[in-house]
Amino acid sequence: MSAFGYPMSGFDSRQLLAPVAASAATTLETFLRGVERRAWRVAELAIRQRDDAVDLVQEAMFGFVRRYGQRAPEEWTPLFWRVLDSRIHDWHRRNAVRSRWTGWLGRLGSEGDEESDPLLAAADGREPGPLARLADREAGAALDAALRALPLRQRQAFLLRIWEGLDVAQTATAMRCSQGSVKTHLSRALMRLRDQLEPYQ
Amino acid sequence: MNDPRHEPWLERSRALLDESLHEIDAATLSRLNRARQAALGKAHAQRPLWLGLSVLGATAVLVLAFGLARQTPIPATAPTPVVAPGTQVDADADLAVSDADSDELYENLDFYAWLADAGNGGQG
Repeated sequence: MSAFGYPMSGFDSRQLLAPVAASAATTLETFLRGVERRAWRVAELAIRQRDDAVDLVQEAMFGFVRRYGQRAPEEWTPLFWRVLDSRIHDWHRRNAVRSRWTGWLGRLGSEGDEESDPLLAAADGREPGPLARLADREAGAALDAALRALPLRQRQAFLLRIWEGLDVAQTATAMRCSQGSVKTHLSRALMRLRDQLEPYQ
Repeated sequence: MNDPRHEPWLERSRALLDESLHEIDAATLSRLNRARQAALGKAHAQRPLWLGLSVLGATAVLVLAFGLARQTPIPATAPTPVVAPGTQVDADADLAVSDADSDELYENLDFYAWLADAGNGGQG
């Protein structure tokens, strides 16, 4: 048992399910351990690449430790998400440049083909199969699909506010925007998601 | 207005997202673990540099102070005897002789003994 009241050797699901309660006693390792899975899920939902999502989380951890590791633990949560959000945006910028080049080369190689959205064409590893007829699986897949269909800022606002439990000010810090923008993004996200997800409640 | 976060479909969404964390494959978990350790290792590696600079600065200050202390001229006068507070000073302390005087005293000890005897005889 650690000084923080839960075992350090094994993984405690409370760290997994609950947002990290930053306190003076929270160590950097405890914080990162508690946030890494959710960070990976947020990254994976944003970029749809499982391996790249791990890379993004790793980059975010490095950046966070280097820039904000000395800050008070109470400040860590929004700052970590801020770093990850920044890395996700960087990934999309790099990917946009790469897509422009590959798209141009692809058009040269396959003139006359129908225009297709590469994101729609990408294989979805969570496409429900026969076993995914169970209600939870179906609902989970619907949730993932709905979240992936959201614009990046709306999805980030939803995940940080609704899942991670940050308040408006913390979310604004994480997303590097005003609190008004957070409310707008969240409102639009809720509007779009409600129609798709209410049937699964 | 009610907090929208408590709507049933949102509660359900949160539960599903939480549940999805348990389905992350072992390879990804292992990579996340290594990423965390690497980030923390880097953080710890930064500390010796910071500490090293502090120790280096402290050492430089000590060396400088020692050098200055050695350059300061030491007064040629003999140090004043220190008497602990409360110690009763013997009235004859002023008569205490230096080493040179002490040698002279011992060399002429016979003379002083004769002088004392002669004095006593003269009086008696």
